[in-house]
Amino acid sequence: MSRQSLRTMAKTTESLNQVLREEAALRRVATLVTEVAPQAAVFEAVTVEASGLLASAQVQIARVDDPAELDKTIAQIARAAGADCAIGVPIVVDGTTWGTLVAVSTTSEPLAAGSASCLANFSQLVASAVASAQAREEPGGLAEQLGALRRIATLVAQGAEPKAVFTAVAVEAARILGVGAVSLINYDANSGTFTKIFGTHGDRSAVPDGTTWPVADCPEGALAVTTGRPARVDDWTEVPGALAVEHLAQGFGQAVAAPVIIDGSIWGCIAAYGEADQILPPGCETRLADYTNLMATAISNVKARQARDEHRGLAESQGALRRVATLVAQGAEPKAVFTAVAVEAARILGVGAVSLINYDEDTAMFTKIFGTHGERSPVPDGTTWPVADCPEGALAVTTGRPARVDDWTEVPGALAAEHLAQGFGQAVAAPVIIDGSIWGCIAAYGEADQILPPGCETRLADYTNLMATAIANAQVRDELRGLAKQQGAALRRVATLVAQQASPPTIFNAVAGEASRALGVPRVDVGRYHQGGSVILLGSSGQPGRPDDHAFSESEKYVAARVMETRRAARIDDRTTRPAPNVAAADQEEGFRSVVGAPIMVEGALWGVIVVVAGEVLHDDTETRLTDFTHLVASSISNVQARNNLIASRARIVTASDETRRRIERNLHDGIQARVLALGLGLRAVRARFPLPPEVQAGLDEVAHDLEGVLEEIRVFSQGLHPALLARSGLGPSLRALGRRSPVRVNLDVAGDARFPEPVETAVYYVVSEALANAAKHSQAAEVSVTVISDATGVRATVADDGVGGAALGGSSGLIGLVDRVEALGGRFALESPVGRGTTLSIELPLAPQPTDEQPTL
Amino acid sequence: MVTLSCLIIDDSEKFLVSATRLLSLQGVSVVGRASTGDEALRLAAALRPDVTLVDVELGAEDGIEVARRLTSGDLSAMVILISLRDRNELTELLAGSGAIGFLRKDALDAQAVADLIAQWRQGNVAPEPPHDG
Repeated sequence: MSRQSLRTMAKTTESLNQVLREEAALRRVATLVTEVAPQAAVFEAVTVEASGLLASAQVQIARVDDPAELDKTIAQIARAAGADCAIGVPIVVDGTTWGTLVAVSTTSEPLAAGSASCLANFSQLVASAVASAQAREEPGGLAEQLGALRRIATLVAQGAEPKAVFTAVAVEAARILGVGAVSLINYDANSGTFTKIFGTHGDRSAVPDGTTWPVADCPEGALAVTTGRPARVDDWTEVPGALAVEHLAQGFGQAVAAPVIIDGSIWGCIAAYGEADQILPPGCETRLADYTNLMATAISNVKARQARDEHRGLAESQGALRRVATLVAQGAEPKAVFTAVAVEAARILGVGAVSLINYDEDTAMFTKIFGTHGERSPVPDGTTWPVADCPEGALAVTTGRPARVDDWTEVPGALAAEHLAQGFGQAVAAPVIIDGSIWGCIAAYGEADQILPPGCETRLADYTNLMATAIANAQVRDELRGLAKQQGAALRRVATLVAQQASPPTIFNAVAGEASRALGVPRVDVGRYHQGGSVILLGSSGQPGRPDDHAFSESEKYVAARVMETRRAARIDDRTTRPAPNVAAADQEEGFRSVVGAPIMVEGALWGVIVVVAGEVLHDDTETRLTDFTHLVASSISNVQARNNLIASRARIVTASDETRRRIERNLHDGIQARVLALGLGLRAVRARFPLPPEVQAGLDEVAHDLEGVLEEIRVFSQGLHPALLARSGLGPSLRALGRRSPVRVNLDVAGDARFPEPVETAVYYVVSEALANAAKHSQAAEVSVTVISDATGVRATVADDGVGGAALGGSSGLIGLVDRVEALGGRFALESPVGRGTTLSIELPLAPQPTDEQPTL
Repeated sequence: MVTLSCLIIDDSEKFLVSATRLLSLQGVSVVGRASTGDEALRLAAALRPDVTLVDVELGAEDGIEVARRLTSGDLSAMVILISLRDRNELTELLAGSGAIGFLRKDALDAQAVADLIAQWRQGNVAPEPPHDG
């Protein structure tokens, strides 16, 4: 590509960009104009945008009435700016010169070519804005009509008597049109009659208000109601009837009328009567029609409001309160309560939307809790924004009184723009005061064309006061629920640890950690009081390994001592509450800390203390919230103690039964067994000493044989009663002895000759013994494997056969007693016996010191 | 038949009496009886019997340990352990006791004792008692 074409292309690109920038700027200004922005805003936008587009130029707007003065004005502006070069274009409104748009060069260079056309484009926009503003300011123009509408609507909203509203409608119409009188006339299609609702004629009225007459007697109205379009009567002399005569007699002239259409049907008409010498201009009936259309809505609203007010009235407010209060009483979610509050407010006030807004004084931020805007919501629920962005709320929360915003176009900020864009208009807000402090506000937003009457904010405030209690309840319960949820989870986590038989330090560390998390404090310690008043640190949320984590600090000890004295929560908030001798030492040691301690009471007795330490003054509710955690600890301890007591008592039962078996076995061994043995030996001695006749010998042999049988029975019985040699020979030899006795082949794997506590060895022995007996009796197994392994924490024994399976704990298995024995030792018992796939019985017995009620830690 | 001298150690007086009577009638010379380990050692040293019968469960004492003391050192006594219990229950305990054999008490007689001694003399370190299944 040649250099020339590159340059051309660059130039083209640049001019294209310039055009695009200009278009964008014009579009922005045009938007302002079409939105009927205030004239000043349009002017400012024009000067800023045009100055930005024209390099090194400053753009101004000047007022010039006389086209001949244009050049002079432009030159004056250039001189005033000290510029050598200026370009001005005229601003022409409705065919007449209004002013000029002038660009003044800020350098010595002349302004770029094309500046004039750019200015011309902007001048057209300025002209449109001026024309639009003039139209609004014109008598009877849009602005005046809007003003009239606002006044009517205000009356309607205030619940004014229908007569007052209709009077206003007529009066405003007369003023806007600049006519002698206006009548509001109701039309009854069934009877073909008109009824004059109200007229502004005063003394010159042809008929009093309320008069009914045939439609034919009122030609202007007749036309309007039959055609549904505006109508006019230019010459009353042509009209027959008494009314026409009277009309002329009272000095009225031309008349126009427009139908009043409410909810799609013709309600009646509005008629305007000029003075005798007055010419009503050609557009007059159209203007009346426009006005009437506007008013129809107002009249319709009056009807609707009348109906509603008659039927609901105060009951509505009370009904709303009842519904909200019911929700609160039912313990509904706060969101549901807040939703109800906002929805009810929107209904009572008849506004487009209502927001419930929380106010944070510290950060000067609002948070929208809930709004009824639906899809028209400028921001989602939960959004936070600066107080300044919400003028209606800002007023309410800063003054503590109801506030209102009538015109959002005056309010800066994106939210205001969004508010308008979503089609909302006037807004009222009332503060929500809970427990004497400002919680936030409730804001009601009318529709774009809706007028919120003067009393509206007061009604909202009254309603809000009623609701404040409901909101307070919901909020408090929300907090409680949050706390309960939090602590429920904390309790579950701690309880899980307890159930898993975690070591006491683990449990207390967990409690401290949970409290620290829930309270949002850096350090929580759990301690136990001992005799003599000392307190021993059992657990801490602190980082392990920090030097101060092994003991309570001086401040904590001081608080713990106070707790022990008073049996109530105690705190140090500032150094002055600490006794003098402690202050220097403690401060030197640890710096200032706020310390709060709360007692842990277990079954009515002071057991220990939970201490919270923070670098800043702890919140007033710390004691209360801490109490919840002391209860957590206390119940954990109670649970553990109860559980330990249960385990201990089961263990005692097993021990006692073992002792009984041991004693019976010993008695058998030393008593009956020894005596039967002596009998047997004595019999043999007799036989050894005397040669006996064969028949006597046979009798003695039989007795000897029976005695052997008795001894064997006793031996088997004794073996099942108590493993007498277990204590002496240990588990391995005893299990091997069982294996040797078993009719089913036994594969024994007992690692090492380690000795275990007697209850553990006894339990393993009994379980293996019973399992082998069951295998022999029921399993049809060819082989049984017995495995015993152990480590520092426990012993695991498994008896597995290759038999038919299908064994169960109940029935005659004799296993159920073993389950008790194993669980009494804090162990676990498992039986797996799928039909056809053998039986595996396994137990786990802990070897760690068993918690008992004598142990001090837990 | 050479008269066998025998010492019986048991904590049950009734057994001592009936065993002594039986063995004596069967031609064994029961030279002494004791119910404790110390007494057993003293008698064994003084009487030097051919064989000493020791109850495995000697009251509060461990008969196995008593057997070990009798068979070790200068005394080097010949010991047969006796018990009401089955041999199956005691296998591991018997090993290392130094005893030459085991007899269930209800199987006790002179012939059984003599057989154990004969087996041991033939070099049977682990003799099988005749009346034991």
